[in-house]
Amino acid sequence: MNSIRNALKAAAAIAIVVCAATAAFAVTGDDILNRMEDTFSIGGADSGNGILLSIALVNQYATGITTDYSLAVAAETVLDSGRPADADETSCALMYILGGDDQGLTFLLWTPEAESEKSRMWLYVSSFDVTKEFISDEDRSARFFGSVFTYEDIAGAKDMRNYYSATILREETLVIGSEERPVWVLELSPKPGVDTDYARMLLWVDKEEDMFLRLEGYDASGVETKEIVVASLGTFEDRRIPDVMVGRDLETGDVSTITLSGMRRPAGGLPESVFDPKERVRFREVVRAEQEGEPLVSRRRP
Amino acid sequence: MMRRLFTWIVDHAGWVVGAVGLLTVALVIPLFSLKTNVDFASYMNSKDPAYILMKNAEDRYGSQTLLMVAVIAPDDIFNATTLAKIEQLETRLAEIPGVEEVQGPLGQDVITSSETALDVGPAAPDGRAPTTPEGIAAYRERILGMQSIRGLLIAEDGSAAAILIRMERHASDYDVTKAVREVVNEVGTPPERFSISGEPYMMLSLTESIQRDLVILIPIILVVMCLVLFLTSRTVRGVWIPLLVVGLSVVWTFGPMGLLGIEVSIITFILPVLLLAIGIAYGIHIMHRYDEEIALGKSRREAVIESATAISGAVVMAGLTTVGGFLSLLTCYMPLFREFGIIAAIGVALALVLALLVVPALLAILPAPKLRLKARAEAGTNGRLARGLGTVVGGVARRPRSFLVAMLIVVAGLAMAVPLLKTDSSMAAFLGEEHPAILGMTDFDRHFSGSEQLMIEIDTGQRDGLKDPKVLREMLDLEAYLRTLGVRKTSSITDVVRELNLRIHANDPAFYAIPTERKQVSQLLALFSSQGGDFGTVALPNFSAGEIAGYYPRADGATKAKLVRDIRAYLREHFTGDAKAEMVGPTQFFDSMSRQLIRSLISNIYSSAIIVWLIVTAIMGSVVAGLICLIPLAFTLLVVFAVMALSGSTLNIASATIAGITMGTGIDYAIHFVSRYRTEMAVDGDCVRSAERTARSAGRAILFNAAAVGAGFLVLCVSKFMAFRSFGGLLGLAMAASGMAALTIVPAVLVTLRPRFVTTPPWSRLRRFWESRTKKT
Repeated sequence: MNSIRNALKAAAAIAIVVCAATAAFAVTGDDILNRMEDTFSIGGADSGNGILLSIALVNQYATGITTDYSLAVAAETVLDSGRPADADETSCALMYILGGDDQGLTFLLWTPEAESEKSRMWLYVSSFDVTKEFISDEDRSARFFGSVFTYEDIAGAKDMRNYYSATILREETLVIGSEERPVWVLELSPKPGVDTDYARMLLWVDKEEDMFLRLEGYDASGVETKEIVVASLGTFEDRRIPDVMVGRDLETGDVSTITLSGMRRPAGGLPESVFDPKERVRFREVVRAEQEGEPLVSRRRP
Repeated sequence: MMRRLFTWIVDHAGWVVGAVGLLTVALVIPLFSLKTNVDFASYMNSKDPAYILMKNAEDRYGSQTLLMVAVIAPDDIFNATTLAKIEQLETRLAEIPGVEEVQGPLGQDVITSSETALDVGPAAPDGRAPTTPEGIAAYRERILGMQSIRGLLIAEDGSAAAILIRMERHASDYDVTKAVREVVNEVGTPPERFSISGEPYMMLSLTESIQRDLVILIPIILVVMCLVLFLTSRTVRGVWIPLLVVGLSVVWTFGPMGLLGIEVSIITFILPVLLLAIGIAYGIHIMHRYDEEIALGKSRREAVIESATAISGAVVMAGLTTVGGFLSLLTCYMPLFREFGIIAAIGVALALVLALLVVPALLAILPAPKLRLKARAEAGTNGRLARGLGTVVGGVARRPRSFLVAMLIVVAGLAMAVPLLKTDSSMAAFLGEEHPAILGMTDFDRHFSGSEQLMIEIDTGQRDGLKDPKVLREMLDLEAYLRTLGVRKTSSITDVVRELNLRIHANDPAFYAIPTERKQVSQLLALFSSQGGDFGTVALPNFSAGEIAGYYPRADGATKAKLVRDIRAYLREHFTGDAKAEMVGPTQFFDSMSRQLIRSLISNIYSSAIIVWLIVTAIMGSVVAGLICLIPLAFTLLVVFAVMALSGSTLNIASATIAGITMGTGIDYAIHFVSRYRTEMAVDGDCVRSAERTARSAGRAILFNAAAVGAGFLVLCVSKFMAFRSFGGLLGLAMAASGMAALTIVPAVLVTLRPRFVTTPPWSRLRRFWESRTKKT
């Protein structure tokens, strides 16, 4: 269940990345990593109007089996003016499954800005019409919906600055589709005393957008075990964002592809009740609206 | 031709010895790169349906290899000291490189729920061992209340805890298991008892036991063979020369194996012992004959050439039949036996060639001994043993029909016992009950659901097929049926679905059931997989198929065979719709292996009999002679199988080769007797007196030969493997029985039938026939 929390974090992070703006001139590897994490972290700047997007996840297992999930995500940062300025934001993300028998299975995550507060997560199981809060510890290495991606791999689920030290290996140009992107190539080494998935990591970070375009993970014996590649770039609000990411588990041969689409800002923002776990009706309403393509009209900010 | 060959060898003795020495030194080096293969799965015929089913299941569901560590407390595990050790084990085992997952009673994630929340976390607070009496009491109550953990990670009565270790797919089982054992040995201090079980541990134990076994067996057989050789030769050279030749054949057999990367299997590793026992005779024969020639006053050169030429025919004949016996294993269904047959045949052939090459060369180099062999030979044929043998065989020859009738009654009695013979291809049958790896299994049988595992695959053939509540209920019915067959615990996707259904409904026991709607099942499963839940063998990622695992205590081959039959019958009857069900795991695999053993044994009995009969027929030039020589061997095999059946010894991987080895080795005694009998018949044509004289001369040699080879085989009785202990005993019995049968049944048959080949050798009849045709023409 920890992973659901991380899934939501990841989804929210993907959504919020489009809002991040970072000027850049990198000095050290750690500086670049800092900027990248700021861009991708869930506490990053948000316009406040929220975001809607769809995620298509396809897993192709080495055994020949394919699974796919279609997820709709709504994310927003909610302000509570009654709290101190450094703790007045709560990032909310709602992720629900579209299509098939799982349609309507919904996850809701609150991530408070205050470090002293723990994030909370609720689950709405539409087939039973039951809402439950999940209480669990953090787990960052679990697989995201059975995919090659772990929550550590997907930006936002883990702040790499706490785990790795980065050094610049070189600068080069990476071709994404038909586009050439100037990148920093960072080498990440685990910090002493911390437990990480990889003994060494190489990260290609876009110089302009401060987002990673390629990741290679190595085990203790120096063998590459996993790679994640941004296969296609899109544009949102004048910024380049990843459209398609492909992950490969080089040990098992499994391949997963995440495609982001339909990223948009709802006119007038999202209704506050969308992120209220007590509002079971709203859970269903969001699902229905998404299915039927209806615009979600904010009640909070008319 | 043979004389020219031996003359050349004698004239170039130094070169021969030097060349053999150099080649041997070169072949010693690859011996150090020899590897053992103790994976039972690799011994199976890859076309066997059971093998294919298991491999397909591994491809679809991944490795099902589990290492299991049991912590057994004097009272129960719920005290601070024992729990601290369990925590230490869980932590340290998880740190071992190559370990993918550690499931233990403290750190295992469990789902609990209340009216408003689902709580997911380790079974113990923070996965740490509680230290206060209140904390321990609360933990005890919590963990013993968990259906999914009781019987699996905690004994029902709380007396023991289990830690299950799953290895990474590409990790070295051998290295990880060794590291696990080191950790367990370090942490595992009394008063608790710690044991390890699981297939990887079995493999480690087998590998180490093989190495230890050879270290013990080789010196013992060397000592035994030295004694036998000294007793028969009474000279130092009579000991070291035959031993050297057999030692060379071992190096020449295993050296190329190391060079070619051929791994030593669980039965090939005893080949040095078998070669020492079997191959020693070739050198003995040449040296005895050499001594006789020297005693007759011939020069060293003359004596070597004469003795080698004279004896080579008999030695080659003995070697060829043994090679044929081993090659008969090529007809076996299991590749394990085919490989063993080829390697053993090569080994025996090399022992034969080296005996014919090196012994004459060494004798030509070494000074001639000063012997008084004539007197010793006289004493031999007129000695007490020879006279006794003559009396016994003479008695048989005088009343051959009575003796044969008595033997037929004995045979009928033995034949009645043979159907009681059981097969068992399990590790326990191979290692023995007292082996530490088997004791570990016993611990799991006593305190947990059992150390044996069966797997049944349910394949709906369509995506999300397992989400159908009807299919899930059929699986539940099957699991209930398995419990009626003695399966203590089952685990499948039904557990996940029911557990989540229960938790979603605030622990209302009424909801520990399969939901009624497909959508509800689907959402519960999506909930599980979305959080990274790995279904492992329980379901494929697309839910088209999954496995039911059943745990039961260790059982013998017959019990497993019945279990497999009953389950298959149930599956045929109940899974007739879209969902197909099939046994795929280790239980059906080992059951099939048992059936393969019988198949291999039966085919080996026929093929070895045919091959040996063909060789004897060719050598003696008579079909009837070949058949007569087979009679004592058929009797011997009957005795061996009857003794196996009556003593409770099972047919296993080792004993399945017994027919080929007995045929190939035991035939020599019958050949020896028949050959000598023909010679004696040429003297006066009297059957009874010829049989008596044969017994007094050849009988003694047959007894010595059988005793020497049998003693070599009996050395296996000190093996660490139960299978080899009984195998060694049975081979010793086979040598004794075939020797005795050659001395009694063969003369009785010869005197009764009075076959023509005895008085008129077939080749001479053929020659006369050909000459008469030529004259007419």
